[in-house]
Amino acid sequence: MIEFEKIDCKQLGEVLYGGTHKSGLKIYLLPKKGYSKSYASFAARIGSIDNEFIAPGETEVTKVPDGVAHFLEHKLFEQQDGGNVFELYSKTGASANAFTSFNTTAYIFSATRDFYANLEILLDFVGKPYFTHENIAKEQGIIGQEITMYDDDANWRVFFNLLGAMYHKNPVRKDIAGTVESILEIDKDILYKCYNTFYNPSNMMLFVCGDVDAATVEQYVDKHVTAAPGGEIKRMYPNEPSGVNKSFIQQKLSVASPVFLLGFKDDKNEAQGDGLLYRQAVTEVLLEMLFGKSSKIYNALYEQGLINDMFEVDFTSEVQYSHTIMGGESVNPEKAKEIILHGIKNSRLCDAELERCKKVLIGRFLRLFNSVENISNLFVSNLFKGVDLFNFPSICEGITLNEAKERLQSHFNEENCAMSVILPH
Amino acid sequence: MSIHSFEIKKGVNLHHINTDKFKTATLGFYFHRPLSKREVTINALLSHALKRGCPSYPDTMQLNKRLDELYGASLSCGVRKKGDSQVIHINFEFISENYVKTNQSILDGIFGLAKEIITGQTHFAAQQVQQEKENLRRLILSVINDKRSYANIRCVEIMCQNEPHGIRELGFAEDIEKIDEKSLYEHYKKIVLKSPVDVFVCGDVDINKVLEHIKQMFEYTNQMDFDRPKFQMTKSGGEIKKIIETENIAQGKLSLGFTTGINAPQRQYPALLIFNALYGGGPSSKLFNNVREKLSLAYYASSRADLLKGIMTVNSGIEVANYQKAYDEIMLQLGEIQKGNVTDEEMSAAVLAMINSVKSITDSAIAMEDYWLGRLIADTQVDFDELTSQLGKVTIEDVVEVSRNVALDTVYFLKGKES
Repeated sequence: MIEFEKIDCKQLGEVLYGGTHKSGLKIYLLPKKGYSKSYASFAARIGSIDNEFIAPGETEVTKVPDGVAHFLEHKLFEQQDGGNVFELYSKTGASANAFTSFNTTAYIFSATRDFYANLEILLDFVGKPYFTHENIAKEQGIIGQEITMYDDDANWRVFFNLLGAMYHKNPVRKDIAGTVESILEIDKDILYKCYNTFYNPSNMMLFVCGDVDAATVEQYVDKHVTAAPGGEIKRMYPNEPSGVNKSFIQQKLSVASPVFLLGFKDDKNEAQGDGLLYRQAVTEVLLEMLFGKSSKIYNALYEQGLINDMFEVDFTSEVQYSHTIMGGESVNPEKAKEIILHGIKNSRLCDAELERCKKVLIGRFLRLFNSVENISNLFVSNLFKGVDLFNFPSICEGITLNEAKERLQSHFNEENCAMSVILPH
Repeated sequence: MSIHSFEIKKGVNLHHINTDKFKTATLGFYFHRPLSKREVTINALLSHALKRGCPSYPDTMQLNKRLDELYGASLSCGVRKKGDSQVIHINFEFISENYVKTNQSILDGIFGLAKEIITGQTHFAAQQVQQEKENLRRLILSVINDKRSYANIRCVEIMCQNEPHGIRELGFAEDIEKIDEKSLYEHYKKIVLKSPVDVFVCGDVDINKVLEHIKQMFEYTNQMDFDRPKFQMTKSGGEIKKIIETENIAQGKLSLGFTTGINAPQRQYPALLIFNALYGGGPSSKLFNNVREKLSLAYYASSRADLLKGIMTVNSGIEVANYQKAYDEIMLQLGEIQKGNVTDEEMSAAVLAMINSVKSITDSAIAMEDYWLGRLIADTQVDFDELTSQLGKVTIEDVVEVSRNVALDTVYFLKGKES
């Protein structure tokens, strides 16, 4: 029996149970009463950035084509009898899906009945890869259309163009799905190699949110997750030089008005665990003070017609990279950038604003717990990097004005700033 | 989860969704206007102007600071198309008082703002209106940015070109210029505030306190119309309309419009929902399994049926050269259902998936509000349990009968320039 550790968050009124199965699989449960849906996420720590590694027990470096993690995600839905996993879920009515991010691949379902029958489907199919030459060729057609769809998507293009401009070498600069060309290099052997390396239970996690019982979940894991824990995967990431690759990039697409994103990358990435969460919290408070809807910069941009209320600001804090990205539609991205940079330089942070912005952040954090999907997806990505999200409110409350000021100095460095623009044809 | 409705006065109704499962509570105001070329643009502009300020906080930055103080309460405003009406909505979401230590009531704070923003405006500032005019103009033009939804919008407006439903809810760029802060205020006072309004509150709130606040808010508004605007089903127009347009894009977007002759007030509506799920509702549907999985023609191919208008659209993103293949397959799959080629497995998958998505609505406050808003306009208040039980009773014969009413009306294709 797994001894589940109980983690309480009084302010939220939520409890998280966590434990490790003998296979090495981490299991987490967050009970939610009163919800119709229960949600499960069976996730592997492999994302689009994991394309160079040394598999456990090997000494040679394996390099794989861009887009493999995402391709694997699609292909695991294939069944040996020629059918797909959706046919199994169609017998229970669950809504099932999967997604691949830079760091994680997650297989998910939400169901309003027969939770354990769905859990069995999930645990079973992710554990049974079936790749053939024919089913790979079929998927190259579907994913090819997926990539082409995003080629027309201004919001998608402006984002990946920016990552390509900010980073010289870090693989976060590449499209998650790869390219129409790179996916043609993918074959059976590559898929099995990646699967065997990254889909070992000790590189995976099961997160369940809903009206669910821990002991019963464990029984199903016992039945379906039978592999022994694997050795260490050595992941190779290139050293990222400081400064941006290019400070400006633009592309023309069929849009009505220009779309822009401005990015600031961090040079140093040494944070782990609570350090990552602290960096997240202090940066988010700072961003709220500088660019929130009550800030001087936001209102100056808005009143001059340089942004609309779809303007967004977001900070991403990972082990291998971290950056702030902000932007939206603008008639004059250059002018918007000028006001943003000028506003940062001339900002006067004060305690009253800090306290107000902390309230905004805590309200926003609480709101995330309205949705079983949000909770699960957030916890999975944070637990994989060793972050305990329940600490967010207390870390946030403890941030001082000096800390915010220091973060402003270290983060908003013009050498680390790039802009990406999509212009109408 | 049901709603408890209270008539505040003729034309003003409050609906309470009582639940303590969310960390936040929502408060939404929905003013109903008939969709018309004449006022669609000014209504859209009004929804944007309301969020810019109010008598106590004339400056937008100050208003937003007030929302921040209320633990980052959110205020969002806009317009939504429902059948042949345009709904002007103002939504607040705020933290439930159970989760934060505060010595002021958040609910009272929110109502303090709602009263001024929604029913207590005394004028609109010229400069703010000017800015929102420009924002709206750009928003209208930006509809084209998302090609997937743009193709669907074009298809529907071509199909319903002689009906109010064919009007885009954001209005017309060329009608913006003639509006100024005075005419906007006139319109707000004389038309919008006198329109029928539904108010939704969802969450763990003191309903008596809410009732008092709402009564005060609407004490001096005199509703001219007490009933929500009417809507009509789209009739099949005989000859199939075919429109092809060109944009500088990589992937073509095919959108087919059908008349179904069935909407929410009708007995066969649950069967229509099952038909839609079976045809193109999700990964167990015929479109997904044939257009995508079998023929590998598209990443997405799906259908959706309208609650009120008796129409359905099918959308797919395809290579331009595959236009005919994709079109043929979409029509072939409809023909299969019409011929009765539906297996028990497909049928049960559609029913289970549909029931799952209906039950899932109750896990989101905003989804529940939207569901009930549609049901109030349809004037058929079916709750989630009842709908679930209706869906469970639909038979293959019912679905086949519904499918035989489905007729192609419009073919819209947005294609890239020939390479």
